[in-house]
This record gives sequence, structure tokens and C-alpha cells, in this order.
Amino acid sequence: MGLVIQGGIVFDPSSNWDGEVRDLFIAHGRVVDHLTEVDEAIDARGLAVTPAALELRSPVAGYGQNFLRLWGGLPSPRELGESYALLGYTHIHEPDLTLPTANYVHRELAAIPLMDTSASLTLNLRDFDIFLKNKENLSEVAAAWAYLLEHCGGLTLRVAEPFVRYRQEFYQHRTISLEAVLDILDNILHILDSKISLEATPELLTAGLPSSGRFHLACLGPALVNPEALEKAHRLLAAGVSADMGLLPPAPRSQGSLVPLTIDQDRFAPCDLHGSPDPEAPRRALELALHCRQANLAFSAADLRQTPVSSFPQLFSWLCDHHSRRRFWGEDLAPCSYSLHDWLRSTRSLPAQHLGLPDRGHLRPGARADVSIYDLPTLSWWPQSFNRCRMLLKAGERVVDNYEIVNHTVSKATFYRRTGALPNHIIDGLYAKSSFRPGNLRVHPNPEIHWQKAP
Amino acid sequence: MPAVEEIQEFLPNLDCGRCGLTCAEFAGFLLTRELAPEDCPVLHEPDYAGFIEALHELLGQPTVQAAAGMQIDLEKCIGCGICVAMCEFHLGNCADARLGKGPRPQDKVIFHIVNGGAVVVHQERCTRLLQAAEKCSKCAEYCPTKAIVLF
Amino acid sequence: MEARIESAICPGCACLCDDIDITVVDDRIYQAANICLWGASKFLAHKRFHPKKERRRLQQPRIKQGCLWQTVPYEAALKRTAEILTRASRPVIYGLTNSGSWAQEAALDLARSTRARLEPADLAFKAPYYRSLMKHGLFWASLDVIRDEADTVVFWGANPLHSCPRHVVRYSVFARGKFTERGLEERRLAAVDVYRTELAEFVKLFIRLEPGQEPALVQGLLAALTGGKPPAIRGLRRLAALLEEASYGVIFFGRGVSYGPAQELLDGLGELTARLNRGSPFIFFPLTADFNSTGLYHLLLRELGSPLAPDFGHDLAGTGQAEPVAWSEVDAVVVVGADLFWFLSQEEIDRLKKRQVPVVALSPFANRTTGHAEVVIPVALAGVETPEIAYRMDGLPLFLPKIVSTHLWSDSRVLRELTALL
Repeated sequence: MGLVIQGGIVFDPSSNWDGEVRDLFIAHGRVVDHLTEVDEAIDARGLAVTPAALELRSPVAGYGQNFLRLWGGLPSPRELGESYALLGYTHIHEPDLTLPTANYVHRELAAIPLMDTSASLTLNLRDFDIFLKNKENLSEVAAAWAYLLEHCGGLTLRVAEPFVRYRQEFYQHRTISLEAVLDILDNILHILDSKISLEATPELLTAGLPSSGRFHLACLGPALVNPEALEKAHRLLAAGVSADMGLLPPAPRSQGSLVPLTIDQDRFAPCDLHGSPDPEAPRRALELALHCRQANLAFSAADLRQTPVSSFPQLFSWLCDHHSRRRFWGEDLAPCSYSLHDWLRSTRSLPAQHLGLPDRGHLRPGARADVSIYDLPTLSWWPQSFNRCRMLLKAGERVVDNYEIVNHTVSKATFYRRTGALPNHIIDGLYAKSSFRPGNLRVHPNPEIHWQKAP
Repeated sequence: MPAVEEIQEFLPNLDCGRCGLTCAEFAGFLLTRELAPEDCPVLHEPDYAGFIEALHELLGQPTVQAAAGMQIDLEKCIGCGICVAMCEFHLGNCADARLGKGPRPQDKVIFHIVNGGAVVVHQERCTRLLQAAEKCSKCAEYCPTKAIVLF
Repeated sequence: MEARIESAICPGCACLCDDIDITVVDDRIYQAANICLWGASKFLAHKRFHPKKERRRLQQPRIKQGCLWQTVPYEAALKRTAEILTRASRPVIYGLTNSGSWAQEAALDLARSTRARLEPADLAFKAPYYRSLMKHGLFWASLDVIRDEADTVVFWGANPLHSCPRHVVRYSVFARGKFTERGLEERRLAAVDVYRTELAEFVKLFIRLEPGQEPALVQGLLAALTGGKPPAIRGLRRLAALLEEASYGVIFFGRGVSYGPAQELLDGLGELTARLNRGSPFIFFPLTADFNSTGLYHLLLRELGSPLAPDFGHDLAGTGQAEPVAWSEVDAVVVVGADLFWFLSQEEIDRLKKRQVPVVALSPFANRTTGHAEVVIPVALAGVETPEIAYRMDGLPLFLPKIVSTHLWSDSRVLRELTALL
């Protein structure tokens, strides 16, 4: 079965195609070099053809997120899947998955139609504290993390609290400072030959990051609590650190958000899903994103309560259109805006890179045929027309056609990283402490989920 | 009410494993009525003639299980397992019981919950028996239905 | 043939104990280690609290012809049910708290397509809880965290030994956790109830109230915590002190709270929890009994945006109803995973019968509802005879594999085929 997208204006920053008119051939769900025979042709003359977008941070399935719906803070899975598809997305990534909640997260992700999914295994360093203190144990810790990543069906590693602290007096001796943890993490990541996401905090911005390039700063926005933090973030981005924006609007706090919504996940600080960002953080986040548009900075929204998927077009317009900024913020905030090239890079190429999915985010032969096609009346008009996707192909199958979902049951997969690591004594200890027996924390037997190994 | 030792006197005590258990474990299951003397393949051999009948006589028709030092009334027991978690022997010998999880089949325990009731499997490990009756009474002390009576 | 299955999951209650070691002989469960009596009621079909007495399993679908029962194949029972649902203008699908998640999803689809109301069996208990959450906020932790951290545990209108017998051992009182290494000795316990329960055997502070006195106690506690003058209720001051001194607390409330002015009481408890959280962390946790009640509310919240009873006949927006269904309006009932006639008063039963409201019962066991039903459809035991998903009371789902086989259909299959018939 061959398909050709004919005569489209192709934009693909990672292939340096910046508006070239070319045909795109698709066979067996992948982009191919050329086809002599095609069964179907899509006429894309005058339309913009781009790789489909990947959402780097979509906290829709974490333990407790469902409760946000009590206050109308999260749409239903079906609405979520459809909203993403209509914007040109085919993949969403949940940042918060842990060993006990892995089954929960994957079940929630499986309920979201149309979208491929993946999740970050959030490591609780307190579970490993005594091993982290001794350098000789680090290879065992690395092996344990590799095992957990596959076992929990995670795609990438993440740490929300890059330190070890306890509220309890008699555990104080186990404390490990942030600086020490960064050093230890760097060693472990070197053994694993892997990257890790760290949740940005003012403290982390001040401490800076090791220069190994193995760290990704997630969700900068809420961490920009003061001008100093902004300055530090600026410096880190200028030094080439990989990061994502964590944009958020300066929305007035709604009635529902006044009540606390805390979920204790055995971390140092319980997580308040309603959050309480600094009132100036939204402006700083946007300023940072605008100034660092050439940097290794991917698009992300801070949290789905304040920036639901439906508000993405607004966030995009702030990045890409200075009229829109002036209307909303009353000023330009930065002299330059995101070009189409910059925007595609931050929503396609960089997220695919961070997630380690080499066949996404571009349209070179070999890529999976996830293609989003938009109207393009004139090139300068693109920020408006890219708000809705005219056609979306997922692995060569049409999901959106003529701005409408046409296939509600397109196959979807959950991507995980296969590491082949075996459990060791650290894992045994972790299981022994759980209230579950090890076998029942498995995620893989669940027949609802279509698992796919990340390439 | 016989004790496990009394029953063991009428078992081969070879721990041959043909029934899948040790003789002490088998004795425990005889007490809980989950196994019958006939389930021991060795007792059917001519050398042990009369043992099966003797065991039947010994076991009688009790509604209450017995073991030296404690009786568990299965009519009252709800299988909550508080006794398993509180037992001092388990505290040192069964990590799962410490954390409130049920012991695994291979764990060293004095008693565990089977089919919704507490069953003594290795009463010889009980502090009350090894040391003195007044040394420990944890299992009965916290039993919410007073199903365990110590003597 | 004998097989041993280790670490099976028990669908007896919402503890979902996952440490059940089972011996299966000739495709029948012969022995199950680590199960309590509630587990035995599922695995061994014993009557709860009457050990060794069998619960009668239903074997074949049957329908009522006049006054006589007639045994029929599944297809005929489904056809009759479809006729009943097609004729009905106010159908209700009741129960589902003792069904697996796949069955719940199928029931939600059925409710949608028949424009029925879906009534969770424990709505009277959970609806006021969710409304109180919306007012005062959510303070949540998984049972593992509670086991590891909580040094103060209060049971309010809850008797875990009857609703989920191993809860106290596995999570809340006796288990030793990371920061509660001495288990029971490290925890300060209190219980509030209108009659003495088995908890009194190990809970030091047991406050026995007169019925209806509970809201006054909550208000009194709030007053005591804010320096006001509390009313004279025995134990109030000690309880207030216990709560105040907690470094990490949890309030488990049980079905007992729904027997009086439930909304007032749960609003008060929600406010109390929020107040206590200004000092140290306090978790407010419903002690769910039915094994997948949590899964049902998660499903409703996720799919419809409200955990309350959705009524697809009256408002398709699915905002959910907190008030129990008015049985006088209902003209057909499908009961799944619950025993409706056990919950209804005799008066309500008489009225339903007088109005000849047809009742369809899906159940693995004979119970009061199946005795009154017009169509009885036996189903496989979820998590024992058919694989299912269930949510532990803290909202963590587990996959329950099949342990023994059966000729019976699963309830999710019955519901799906019923939806297809319509």
C-alpha cells in the first residue's frame, strides 16, 4: 500500500527543509525515498506539510491527576486525544510515573484515544539513598534503574527532587545535598549512557548543572520565581543545556484552585496539583522562551489545569506573533518571535530528541509517517492557520481529514525503553518494602495496552 | 485436643516429602482437618498398620484446633492475620509478616492464615513452648475476636 | 492435577491483598493461604462470617414465566433483558462496586445507550465525600505511604475488621513501615463509632457516641483546635490532643458516616482535615469495602468529569447526581455486582414488587436480589474465574488473572452483548 503526499510545501527543521515543495512517499506506515506505484495520492499543493508534533510534557495520567476533574481541571480522555490530534499531535508524554503507580499511569494513558503515549519513570532518590552515598554502589544503582525503567514501562528517567531530605529527625544522617546528587547522577548516567530530566526549581537553577549534556531541565516556567532565577536560566540555556519551557498564563486563580489538592507520593514535599506559581513567572517564562528560541529549548506547558490543550494555540501565538503578545501582555516582551522553523523545531524535532525517538519529529526516509498538514494562505499568516490541523496522518493512517477526526480508533501504542537489565539486590530491597508482592507490580501483562519498544 | 507432637508420634517422621510436606507440617494440616491421615502415602505401608486408626482416634471430632500453648477457635477467627503480624517469632524471622504482608509458603512461621482461619503449622517455634508460657501472649492479646485462647 | 499459584490477588474487598498463595486441584481452588473470611467468600464460596457454610453459586440463566422459573440459555436471558430495557423509560443500572473495571466500562456504555441512570451501590457513602472534597480540598496518599508515615490513625464510623479485615494488618495499624518501624507501638489510635466494635480491642481511645452526635463532635474538635470552648462530649479533648500532636495523621471513615446526616458530617470532617493540615500532613481516606468501588468512581470521574451517579435519561451532560435514585420513578433495574434487595427497606421492596418493576440480576451467587429478579444471569467470579482489573482502595489498579475456569460468562461479556443487542 503506497501513498504519496503531492506537491506540499514541506517544513522539517531537522532535515533543513524550510518550505521546499516536494512529494512525500509513504509505504507501510513509514516515509520512503520513492515509490514507483502508489495506491493513493493526497493533493497537498499550497499546504504546509510538517512532521506531527510530540508533546513533551502532558501531565494527564499521573497518580491523582484524575481528581482535577472534580474542579473541571482536566477534560475527558476522549476530549484530550481529540484536542491533541486536531492540533497536529500524535504522541503525548506523561512526566510522572513511579513503581507503585506504573499500572495506574499506563491505564490512564491507554484510555486516551488517538495518541501514542509514553511516560518518564520518576525516581525517588530516597529509595536509593544509602547506595548513592557510596561510589562503589553506583553501578548497581544504575542497573537497578535500568531494570525499573523497563519493568515500569517507562521511556525516560526523571527526578523531581534532586536531593535526599527527610522530615524525620532520625533520618537526617541520610541527607544528600543537591550538589552532591547532581554529581552522583552524572556518574550513574555515564554508566547508563542515558539522559535524565530534572524538574526545574529555583534551587536547581542556582546550583547549575554538570556540563556532561546528560541533563534536561524540565518545565522552566514555574521555577522563574525572581529575576535572578531568570538570569540563571538564561545562562544555562546559553551554555546549551537542554530544557523545556513550562509556559503558563497569568490566569486569575479560579474558585476551585483555592482548595488544596495534595498527593503524597513519599517525596520530601507532597505535591499540590493546584500549584501556586509566582505571579510574575508566566511573563518571565515567555520572555525566556522568546530570547532563547535558538537554544535547545523545547515547547511545553507548565500544567494542564492552567494551560489546557485548548489554550495551546494561545501559547503558540505568544511565541510566534508579536501582535498577539502586545494585545495580551501590553508589550512585545522581546524583539523577535518564533519563526515557523523555530516553532517546528521546538514542538517536533526537540521533543522527539529528548524522548529518544529517532523516527519521529522529522520526515526523512525511515521516519514513521506521522504527518500534519496545515493551510498556508501566505507564509506570514502561518501562526493563525497552524491552530488547526487540516490533515493528520499517524503511521500513514488518516486521523484528521478536513479539520475533523475521521478515525477514532486508529491504533495507538505505549512506548517503553527495553534495557534488558535484571533485578539485583537493590530492586529486591525496594520490592520488599512495598505492600505489593513483586509480581503484581508488573505492567506488561495488561492486555489493554499495546506495548512498543522504543527503537 | 492433641498437640502436634502427639500427632507426630503416629507419623513416620521421615520427612520423605512424598505428600509434599514435612511430617510436622502434615501434622499441622491434620489438626486443621485440611488433610486426613490417609493422605500420608507412607502410613499405608504394612510397617505402619494401625497408625491411621490411631490418628483418627487422636483427632476425634474437635471444633477447636489445639496446639500446646494456644487454641484457635475457627468459629470466631476472621482471618485478619493480626496474630501473624504481632507474633514475636515472626518479627525476627519473617520480613513479610513484619510489614503486614502474608508469609510465603517457604517462610519460617509458627502459624499462618489458611482458608480464612489461623492455622498453627510449627508450634514448636513458639516462645511460649520454647521458653515459658508467660513470655509472650501477643497473638491472643491483639486478637479482635478473641479467637485465640492461651493456656 | 495440582497447581500452586503464588501471589494471587483477592477480590474479597478493596484491600486487594496480593499475597494469596493458592493450591488448585483439578481446576478447583482447594486451599488459599493468607485470605481472610472475605477472601474465602470469593475463593471458596464460603458465607462471610459463617465459615465453611457454602454460598450457593448460580449455574444457569433463568427467567420468570408467570410464576415459574424457566432455565434458559444466555442468549434467551439477554433477549428478555433487552426487551425489558427497550420498554423501560426510566431504567437504572445498579451496583457495580463489586465488578471489575471492564464490566464497569461495559455497564457505562450500556447506561449510555439505554439512557439509563447508573447508580453505584455505595453512592450514599461516596457522594457526600466527593462533595466535601470539592469544598475543602483533597489530602491523599497511597496506602503504602500511610503505612510508612502515619503515626496517628483515626477510624470514624468504620470497622475495618468487618469491611476489609486485613486493612489494619497490611496498611494502617499493625504493619511496620519505613518511619513507623515499631508498628502498633508507634501509632496512636482512636476510633469514633455509635457502638462498640472489635477495634476497641486494640484502639486505646474509643469514643462511643449517641447516634446523631457525630457532627457535634466534629464541630467540638474544630473549636478545641482553634482555642474555642468545645461541648462536653466524653473523649473529645483527648481526641483533639491526639490529632494536634500528630506528626502525620490519617482519618479513615467508613460506611457508618452515611447512616446519619452524612453531608454535614463529611463536610465537617473535610474542614477538620484541612484545618489539621495547617500543622502536619493529614490524610482523609474513605474505607471502601467493595473490591472495585474505587475503580468505578475513577471511571466516572475520568470519563464524565463527575464521580456521582450519571443519569443519561435526564441530563446527558453527565454532571452526576448525588441524591440516591427515587425508586418510585424507576421502571426497570439491572443489578450488577451488588445485592440491591439487601440494601432496600422492606417498604421499598414491596413498592417495587407492587409496581411490577422488572429486575434483572447478574450475580455469581444466589442472593436476595436473584430471589426477586425476573431475569437471573449467573456470571463468572471476577478475578477468580475471569481476568479483570480492579482498583485498590487507594486508587492503584491491579490486574487479576484467571485462576480457575468456568462455563459461565463474565459480567463484562454479558453487558457488552446486551449493549450490542440494543
